[in-house]
Amino acid sequence: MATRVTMPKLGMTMLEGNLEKWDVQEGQHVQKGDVLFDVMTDKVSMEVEAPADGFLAGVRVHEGDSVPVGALMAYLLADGEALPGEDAGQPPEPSAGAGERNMAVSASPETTATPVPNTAAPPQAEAPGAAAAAAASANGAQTFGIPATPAARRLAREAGISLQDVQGTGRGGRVEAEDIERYLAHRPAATAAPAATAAPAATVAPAATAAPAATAPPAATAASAATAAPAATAAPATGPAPGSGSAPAGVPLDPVRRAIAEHMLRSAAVPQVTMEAVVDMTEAARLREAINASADVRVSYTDLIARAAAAALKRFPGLNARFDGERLELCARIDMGLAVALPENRGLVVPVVRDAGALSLSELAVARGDLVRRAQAGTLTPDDMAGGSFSLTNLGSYGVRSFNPLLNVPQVATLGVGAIRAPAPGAPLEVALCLTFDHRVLDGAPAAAFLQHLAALLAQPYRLL
Amino acid sequence: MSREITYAEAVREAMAQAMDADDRVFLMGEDIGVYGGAFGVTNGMIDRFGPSRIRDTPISENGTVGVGVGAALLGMRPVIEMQFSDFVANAMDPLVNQAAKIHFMFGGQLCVPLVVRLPAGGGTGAAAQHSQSQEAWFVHVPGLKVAMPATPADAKGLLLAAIADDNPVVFVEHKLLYRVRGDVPEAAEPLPFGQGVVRRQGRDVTVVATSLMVHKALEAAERLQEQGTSVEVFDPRTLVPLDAAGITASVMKTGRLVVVHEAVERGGFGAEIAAVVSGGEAFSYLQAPIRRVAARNTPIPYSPGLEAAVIPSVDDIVAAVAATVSGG
Repeated sequence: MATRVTMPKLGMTMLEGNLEKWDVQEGQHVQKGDVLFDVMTDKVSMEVEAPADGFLAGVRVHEGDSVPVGALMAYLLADGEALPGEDAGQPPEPSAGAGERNMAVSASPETTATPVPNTAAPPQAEAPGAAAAAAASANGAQTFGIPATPAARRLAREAGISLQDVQGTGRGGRVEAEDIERYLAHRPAATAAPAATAAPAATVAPAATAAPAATAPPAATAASAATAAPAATAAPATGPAPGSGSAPAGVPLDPVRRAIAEHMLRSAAVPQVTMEAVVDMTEAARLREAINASADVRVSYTDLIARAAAAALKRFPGLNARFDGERLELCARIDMGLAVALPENRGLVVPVVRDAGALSLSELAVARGDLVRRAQAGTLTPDDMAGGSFSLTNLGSYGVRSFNPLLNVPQVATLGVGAIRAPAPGAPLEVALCLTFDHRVLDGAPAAAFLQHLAALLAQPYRLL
Repeated sequence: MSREITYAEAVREAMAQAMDADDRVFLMGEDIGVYGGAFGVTNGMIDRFGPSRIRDTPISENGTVGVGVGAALLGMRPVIEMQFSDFVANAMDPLVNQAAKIHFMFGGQLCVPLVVRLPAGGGTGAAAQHSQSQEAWFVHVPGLKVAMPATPADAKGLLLAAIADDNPVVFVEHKLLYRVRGDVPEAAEPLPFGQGVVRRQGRDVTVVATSLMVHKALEAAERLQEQGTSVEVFDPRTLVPLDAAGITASVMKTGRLVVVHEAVERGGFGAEIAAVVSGGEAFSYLQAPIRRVAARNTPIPYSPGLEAAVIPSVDDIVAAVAATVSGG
């Protein structure tokens, strides 16, 4: 059966994407998971994987085109299969399960970590003819096939949300203005990206609230204009709608959070072990003070520990690796992911310092500072976050003494850093380093040896210079 | 100064004041002289203005309107009463093919300041040929203006404006409105065409109603208020020109629209109002499909029970509004 290739919804506010390039020529065969095309949304470029095996055919969108979310872009055909009669606007019969059809419409969640949300819309959402409508419509097509009142569509557009995410309570599941207001009232404040140790993910582009084009009412002969200016309909409610009756409590996760949840679940499926070592930071503190007193670049403890970890990984390359369950890839380069908290509880991102092993302490401090600034400004690209080989997460600034970081799969090791503190007045400064590793590919001894080496480097940090 | 008079009296007063003010104004119609018209609208006028200005005509609407067009072209300002609006079918050629077009066909050198009054509507037990609501016929003819006053004051003000207008005007008076009483200014104050009025303020739904249906809509709104539904009733007063901006503003406020008219639904003016709203700025404010409440697509039956079933009732309006507000 032909698989439809459609513009995926890569962020909660995404209405359309710009096709940067096809990574596969028409007629070429791809396997499910191969990178099929690159999409540029407001600020972020992303690779989209093939939703199925097949030959790329019926390409109707060209590089540089803006494509509404959900619009048909091409088909993946089996050998010898003919193109569906797309001119009739009939999408293929949904003989596959609904979940599979969603997959076909979505990007591969594995790489983007921002999968298409499970649509809460009723079955009409995939009504015949919807594809044609989407392909034909240049705007608002993210809601094609979803029954909604014009007022609900306007409110959704103004709020930058997708009707797919809203449960319609009107006749036939129609989304009504009240449903949008209820959704907005219950929506979690978070709009942003991945959590601690989440896989590389896009930051969410700000909502582009297209103002509805005001068309003058058609004036019959000489209609009077003396009537008052139109009043807006009710603003979104700020609290839960009272008396929502038998509706179940709580709200579904927003797509980004759901992506994080899925990623965490995948991580939790990995047999992982965390071990903790307490490291004397007296010398490291002294070194840091000396550098910061004399150099232009300010060096943080995180920079010192990252530098030390990079040095230790050179000695223990087995921890600088990726494992997808079948193949273990020892990474030649140390691309170190650094968890960065976003402002206003918008989550965490894990941008990657490239080739951290080749950077001096000050270079690493500069690179990290740049990533942190851009993370907080929301200007990271997916490339900034893709392809890490090891991750470091520091909760020390919150006073956390030690913790149990989850693996950032498919990486095989993550280092958690606790607070740098003196356990008693006058005692030397120390820090808890918490190493989590994938016990499928690593055993306790080499991991512990890595941790021991790391501790030694930090205890005598001049070797890091 | 105003005082309460009937709709019929208001129409009569408008004509009398126009005739007082302008010698060119005269009336034509069947039995409008000594008999005072089928509905008594011209009662006593012949005594005051004489048979040359209150002219009884033969039963020949085609001829009467044709004479009216000619008189208007020569500078008079005739006001013609169709005894029943249904009979205007006989006068379609002079009205549609002559009166509406002459101004345009002769490059604006001539105009046809003609008013044709149509006692319209059912509910009188007068059956299919004496009960129609034909306003949509004339709305569809460029060059004609169409007024449908619902109150005595509007009847007077709009008729004064119609007589003063240089264009042919079709003036629709529902027969059941003639006895309705209301405050009417004594002075001759024309009301502008194309300016609707909010008869009742509301929040949840806009009901655009015309002529007699304005009153039924107001009654329905009263009942709906008891059920907790706040209904805004908008009376466009004239269909050509139409106060599209007023309707649009109201719908943008309430988000819902029900259109009520007594004419049959199919091809009725309600469709035009729905199109004006859904095709304009108000579209994005709609929270429910637009509904029409109109007569069934059938000739008005003679049987009173059947007639009542065909013509929209207050119950029909209440039900349609309730369904619209509940999102159906």
